[in-house]
Amino acid sequence: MPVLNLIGYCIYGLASIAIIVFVGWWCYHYGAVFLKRLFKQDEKVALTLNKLLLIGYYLLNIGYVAVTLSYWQAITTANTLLHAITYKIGFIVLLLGVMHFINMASTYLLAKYYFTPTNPKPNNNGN
Amino acid sequence: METNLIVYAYAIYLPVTLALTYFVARMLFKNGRVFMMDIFNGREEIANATNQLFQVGFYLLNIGFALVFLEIYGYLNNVQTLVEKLGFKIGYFAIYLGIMLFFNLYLFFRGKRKAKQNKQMDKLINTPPAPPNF
Repeated sequence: MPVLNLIGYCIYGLASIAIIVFVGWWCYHYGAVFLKRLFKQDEKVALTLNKLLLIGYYLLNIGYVAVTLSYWQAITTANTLLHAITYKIGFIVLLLGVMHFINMASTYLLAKYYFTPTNPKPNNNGN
Repeated sequence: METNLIVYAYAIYLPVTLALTYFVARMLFKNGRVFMMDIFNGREEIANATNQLFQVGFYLLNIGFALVFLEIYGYLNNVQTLVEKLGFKIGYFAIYLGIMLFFNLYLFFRGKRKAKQNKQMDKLINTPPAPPNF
């Protein structure tokens, strides 16, 4: 029954886009503080960068979700439909989690690099 | 359904990609003015002009890519393959746009860094040497 595939696409697409938008908004909201700290005197630059990063994140992730639609197998029963949807949404969520930790690590490392004792005031000379 | 659905696919693909390009370009260059003002030391006229030129280039590249990437091979005879092909095409286009967005951001930050270096160099050259202290 080819209709099952379509139902799967609808559920998968809506659920994963909802998760992506929610996580993106969350990181946008709470990540601004870290960017402001990185760009100490340049609050404007930090905020615009935050906005553009959010758009880039949406484009890449929703694009990935749309591309993976074409790699589904034919679904014949409701059981396989459930398996396929849970597996694929789980994969997206795992991917987001891994990327999130990479992001946090890079923010931490950047802040550490910029605030080392050898370079204590990186932004004080007209940045 | 026996009709070929490719025309419908094109009719969905074109508005979606063009609207996506327009939206991303508008957001990028509305925010890009901040960087440009930084790069050009607050000279508003030249900052705006450069921003506009970058914007034209961005539109040309991305709309060109969207049109070149349009062609769908094969025969679409049901809605399922239509959704799959469209998802593939629009998804890849969105990923391409995201990469272009990050590339532009990289250019902005590079320009900012260079402007800062130039400013420091100017300061270094233009400060008179300290008088000899006997």
